[in-house]
Amino acid sequence: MDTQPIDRLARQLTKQSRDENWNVWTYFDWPESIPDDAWCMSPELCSLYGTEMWSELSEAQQKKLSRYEIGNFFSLTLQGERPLVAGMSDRLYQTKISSDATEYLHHFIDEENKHMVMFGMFCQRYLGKVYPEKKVAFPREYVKGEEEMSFFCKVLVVEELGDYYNIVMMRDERIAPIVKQINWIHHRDESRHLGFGREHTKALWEKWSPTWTPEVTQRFREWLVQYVKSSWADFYNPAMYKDAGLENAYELRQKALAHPATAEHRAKASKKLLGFFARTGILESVPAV
Amino acid sequence: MRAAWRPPVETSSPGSTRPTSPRDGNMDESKIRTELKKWIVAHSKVPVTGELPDDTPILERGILSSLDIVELVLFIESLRGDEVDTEAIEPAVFTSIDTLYSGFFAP
Ligand SMILES: [Fe+2]
Ligand SMILES: [Fe+2]
Repeated sequence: MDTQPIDRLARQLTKQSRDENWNVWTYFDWPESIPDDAWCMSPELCSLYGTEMWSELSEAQQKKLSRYEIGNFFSLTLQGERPLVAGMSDRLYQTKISSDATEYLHHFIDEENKHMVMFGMFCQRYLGKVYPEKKVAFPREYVKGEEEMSFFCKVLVVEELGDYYNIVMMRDERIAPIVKQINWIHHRDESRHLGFGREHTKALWEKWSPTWTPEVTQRFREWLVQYVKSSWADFYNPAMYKDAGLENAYELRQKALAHPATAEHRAKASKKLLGFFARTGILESVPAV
Repeated sequence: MRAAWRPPVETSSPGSTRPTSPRDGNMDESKIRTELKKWIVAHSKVPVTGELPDDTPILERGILSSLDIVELVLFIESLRGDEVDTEAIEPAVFTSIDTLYSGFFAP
């Protein structure tokens, strides 16, 4: 049916994607290196910001940490995009997705592939590595619609949290220009992905949640809150602290995660995401993350 | 090549439960099992009363969820003083304290 609002949106987004199409292989002028005295991530976005662990560092140490923080952020985004592309590819030409949506998903996949190329190139060039994922996949059972909802909610979590960071950094004159540029181009594509993702997730919720028992709904909501929390915890990566030369990396992470200043940052940066979940009824209220 | 791990400088405040690394030489098998048990009980999704036997299936019983595993891996890394390559491990290693010990710590 081509009268569905989601199909109209998909056609609009397809057109925009074609108008704003860009070439990841030629788009960037990769600098040979990023100078040591440059900020690589906006200081306010660094995971220790606002805590005594941050103020105890010299500016040089803070800048060094910002380099590994951006590496971790780009790695997280890349690691989140891998299953996203796999899941989107699985859905192409399936009956549960309309032909307009399938056409848009081709752009979604194309753009995410470019993002992975760009984040991978950045991390390899300036850090010599991409931070590995620590997730382990366990098989589990779902009721009808639950896996579909989980998949699109995961996509939204990765994209909304990332987008908050992208928007701050694409406007930040203090940071290395290559980082600013990557954040800008990522945000431009992601705003379309998010537009589609929000509408599609809302439609899925309206379709499936009425068929679930209260126990399934409860289990799903608990999982979602845990998933958001665990996605946030990834921003406090001990390997990144260790690479930046900080001692006691694991305790540093635990302390930073428990600090009220970082909780405030997470609440602010998740406002859009959690507001969406609460507004649509996917969550009953905005949880603390 | 990964640089050799050195024990962190002691800066923790009193009451901190920072685990000691096995490479400090003072963390033997029973200490590691105790640390793992403490962590699992502290993060349990269901009430754990009494003793938690080392062969309790922690995921199957709903004591931990799969989302807790990332946290557990980081805790294990801090106990080992070395990174864990999650691509190389089988999910079965997360069955119980016994499998965690043999998978991550046994010589
Ligand atoms: Fe992306
Ligand atoms: Fe995206």
